Amino acid sequence: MHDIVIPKLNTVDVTYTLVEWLFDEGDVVPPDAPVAILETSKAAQEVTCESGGVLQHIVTPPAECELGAVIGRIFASHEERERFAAARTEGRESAEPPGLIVTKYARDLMKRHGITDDRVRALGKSVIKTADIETLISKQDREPEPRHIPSRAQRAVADIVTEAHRTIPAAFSVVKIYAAEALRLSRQLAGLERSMIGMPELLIKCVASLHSGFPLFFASIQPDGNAFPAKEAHIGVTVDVGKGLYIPVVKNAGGRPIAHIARELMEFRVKALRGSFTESDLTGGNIAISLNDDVGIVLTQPLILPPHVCMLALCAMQDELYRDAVGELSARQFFYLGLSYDHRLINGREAAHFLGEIKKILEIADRIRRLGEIDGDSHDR
Amino acid sequence: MTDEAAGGATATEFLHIVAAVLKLDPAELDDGAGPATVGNWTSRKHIELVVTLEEIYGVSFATDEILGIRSVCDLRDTLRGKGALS
Repeated sequence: MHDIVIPKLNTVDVTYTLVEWLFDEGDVVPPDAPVAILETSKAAQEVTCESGGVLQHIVTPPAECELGAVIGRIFASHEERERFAAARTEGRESAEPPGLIVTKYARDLMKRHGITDDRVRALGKSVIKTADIETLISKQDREPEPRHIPSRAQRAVADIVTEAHRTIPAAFSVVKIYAAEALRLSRQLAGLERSMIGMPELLIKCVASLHSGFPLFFASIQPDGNAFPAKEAHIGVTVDVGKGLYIPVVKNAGGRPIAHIARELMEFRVKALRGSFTESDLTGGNIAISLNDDVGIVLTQPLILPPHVCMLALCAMQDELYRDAVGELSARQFFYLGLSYDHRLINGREAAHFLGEIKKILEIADRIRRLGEIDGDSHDR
Repeated sequence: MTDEAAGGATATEFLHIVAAVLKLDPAELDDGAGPATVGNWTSRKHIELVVTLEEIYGVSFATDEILGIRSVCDLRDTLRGKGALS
């Protein structure tokens, strides 16, 4: 016999919803087959079972299940499963609570007002009288106060934000970056690569290039304050197309061409639109970028997603006038880049170096051009 | 109104929608206009365009279609392929 257990799919949820079984009770399930669909706060995910055999459901969908809960069992034979199912049915029947005693007038009132046995049973009384039903009716008739009930996904966001503020001693720095070279490269690449490469894509590639020079910024910090460095830069990026906030992860961003990253980012936006993310899209990041480049957003202080050590915030492009080399007034574009960082590991000096390096890469033509090449961690500190 | 005239009106409406999303004058958008030539046509605006056109024309774009659209002409052809534009 083998238990089918709710696995840990992410670091956010403590329960998942069992949406459906992919096999009926009594079906023979092959080894490593997906057997059920779970829904997390952000995605749907299959549950696989290593062992093959005859399936018995323990939990009936839809149902909220805690991590580690046994939702089904795999038996070696049909006979074994049937014995288990029979014993389970007997146990369930014997565990049925005794029937309620409801007076005739109380029963009539229940019928007239559509009050169910379950609501009556919830009163915890063995004998139900007319007065008990009248109390339920008065509660039922009361106009419910208008309220907004956040979605499950929004509650997950709230949990992360609360956890971040509770556990991370965060500090914040910001740098001003002139965008002329980045915009020029963006236009060039858009023509060459037939990809939409803008500031978010360039920034992802730029940040990934700093992995070897600034390993602590990509580390995972533990509750005891110790940190584990990451082998590669896996960069979470906020995506919100009006269907909820997601932070999918661009894996190994340092070792991939920028056109691949641009395509993946667009795929993430489509998944956000269609609600088709999988848990693997949303997990495994070790640093994150919050895209706050809506017109008029001057500055954003991002939170830090535990167990990350920092998060960047890309803000909107702005225009300013300046005097050029010959004293003439000209216009130029710039944006602010914010960095929230965990003070247990990073001090203001390192944060300033990190932001300064990003600024240099994005502003200096020779350096930013390298982002368009297929290179890895080439920008050392 | 003839079919041709009706088709013309639909095409004009389409161009006005694209221009409105990109915050441009429709006169600035020719068939070749796309992310490579229009500064406002960012990856975010691209998705915004898709959402807007899906809502207005009652169609759905496949992921490959969304990723493959590179110009106003591509967008119009994709909508025509779905029977949303004459």
